[in-house]
Amino acid sequence: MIEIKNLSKIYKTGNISVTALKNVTLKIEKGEFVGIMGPSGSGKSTFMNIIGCLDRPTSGLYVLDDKTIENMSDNELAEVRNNKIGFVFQSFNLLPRTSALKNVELPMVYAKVSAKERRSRALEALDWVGLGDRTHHNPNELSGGQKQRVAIARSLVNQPAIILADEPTGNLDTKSGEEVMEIFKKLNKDGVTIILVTHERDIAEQSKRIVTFRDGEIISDELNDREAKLKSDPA
Amino acid sequence: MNFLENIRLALSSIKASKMRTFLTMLGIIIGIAAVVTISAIGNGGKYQIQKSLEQFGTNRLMVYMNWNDQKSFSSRDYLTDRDVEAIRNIKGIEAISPIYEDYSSLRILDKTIDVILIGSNSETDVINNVEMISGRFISQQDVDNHNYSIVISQKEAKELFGQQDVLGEKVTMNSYVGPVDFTIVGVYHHEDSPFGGNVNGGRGQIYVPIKTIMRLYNQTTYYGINLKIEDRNEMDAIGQQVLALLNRLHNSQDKYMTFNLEEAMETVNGVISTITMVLAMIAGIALLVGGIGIMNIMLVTVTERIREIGVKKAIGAKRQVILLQFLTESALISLVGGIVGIVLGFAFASLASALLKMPPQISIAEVLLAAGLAIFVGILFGVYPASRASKLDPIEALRYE
Repeated sequence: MIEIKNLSKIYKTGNISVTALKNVTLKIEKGEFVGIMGPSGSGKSTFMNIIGCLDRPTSGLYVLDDKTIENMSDNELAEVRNNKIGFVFQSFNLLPRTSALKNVELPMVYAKVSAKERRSRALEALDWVGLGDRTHHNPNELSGGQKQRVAIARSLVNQPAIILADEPTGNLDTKSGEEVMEIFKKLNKDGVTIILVTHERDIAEQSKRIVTFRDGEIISDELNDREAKLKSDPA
Repeated sequence: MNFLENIRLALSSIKASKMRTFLTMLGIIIGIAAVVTISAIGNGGKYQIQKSLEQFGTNRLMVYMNWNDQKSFSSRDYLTDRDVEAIRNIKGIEAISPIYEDYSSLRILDKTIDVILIGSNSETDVINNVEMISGRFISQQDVDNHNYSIVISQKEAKELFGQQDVLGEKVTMNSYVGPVDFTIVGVYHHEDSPFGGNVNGGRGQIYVPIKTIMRLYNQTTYYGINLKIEDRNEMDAIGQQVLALLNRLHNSQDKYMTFNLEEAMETVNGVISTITMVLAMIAGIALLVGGIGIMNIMLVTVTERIREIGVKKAIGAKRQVILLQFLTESALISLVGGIVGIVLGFAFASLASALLKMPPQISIAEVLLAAGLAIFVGILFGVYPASRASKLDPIEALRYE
């Protein structure tokens, strides 16, 4: 699904160059639920941006769904983001003055889905995240948890290969955060690959595999015992 | 991303900041209104000239004595019937009529109206584009027999008799030699002078047999002759022939001139066109300023929506999608402004024309041109902000606070 080999990212500002990622190698299979941890400045955001095709690596290989994300034009990257990746942000990033329904329809607009199908798929997605009764509300009429659920609905309408969530619970109260995490778990159970970036240990621990970054390198990559245990022993 | 979706997006963004959009639009409204007003008035002027030319008679050439050299005139220089008959033999002349005109007045009972008396032969109606509505024009017989026949317009008929059915009625003309009675033989169609009632003090033209009036006043020579030429391209050539003929007949030089009204009108037309164009260009500067206003506000809009642009790019909007979205918005602002400007411009032109006493002329083609111009300005000045939006880096845009 995702294959990353010797990936580096170096930012150059004038004569100073900063290495944000150093020879990172990582493989993520379909259906995984990966938590990415690390303090700020560890390179996890840069890593996210590259995996999300928002940025290009300086060197190294990135294969997503058998496609090499290299030398792709901006428009090709936009297409990959549209088809293969669903984004969930910390600050929701819904379009203001635009109903939940229209927000969820947006990725399908760019994918040139017919208006009729857009509507039915968006309604279905909103229903799935439990907002079937909020479809015509604008973001300013929704609570934080509801906004994030709209954002999740938007991220999954194009049936992406992966959902990238960047601190999705960062702006939410504990209860809403838990609800959002439940949705991710449910999605993952349906086979969606989820990559979740967080600096909160207890959020990361709800994933099945935790990758930790420090100074642009992966310092640990382990299966989450607790989650694994819960799975093998539901009692 | 289809077109309607873009319009919907643009509308919702415009709705979000109505006042600002209106102020931006105002620049375009003023610019387009100015362009439309000026070209409407300019076209109105040209139309008036064309109309007055038609009224005066097209393909009309006037031959007259060179007044600049008046002191050297001798009696043999004046134009005579012999000259008229000689000129008539030149090829390409449709009608010929010597000129004898005078101010006069017509009276019936206690009503008197001032008129311009035109001595006519049977061809004067062709030269002057006279359109009869009842009776007949002055005939050759009227001229030969020195008949006291008169042709008046429906306007005079109404003023004197209160009706148009006046054939056979008698009117009294106040002449230098006392009152003379004329019998109305025809009534012609009156058209309002395009320049209002300002020409000739609002006097109407009446036609009487030229020989009758000349005998009355004891005249035998003319100071000019009117010609109607068959082919307008021949006017200059025939004018030269006429001058050569007259110089030969009178054994003189430079005593005669020709005047081609059409040519003069064309010159005036050209001047009006130039003035209109210059004024329209000045108005175009207002439009330019309006365009800069659009660019300015679009740059602000783009900055305000950087995050939104970042989100859209992240979820898969390509460059051209963002570009088109902002271009649609600026084009829509200027199109709406343009339409309002056209309406306002037409209103201004109507007002100005009412004061100048001439109808404004606006063609569909010009309305479309103005609307096109507005959209063009919107797109032209929208390109830079839109392309800036489309080139934003999604990561930075998402991070923008």
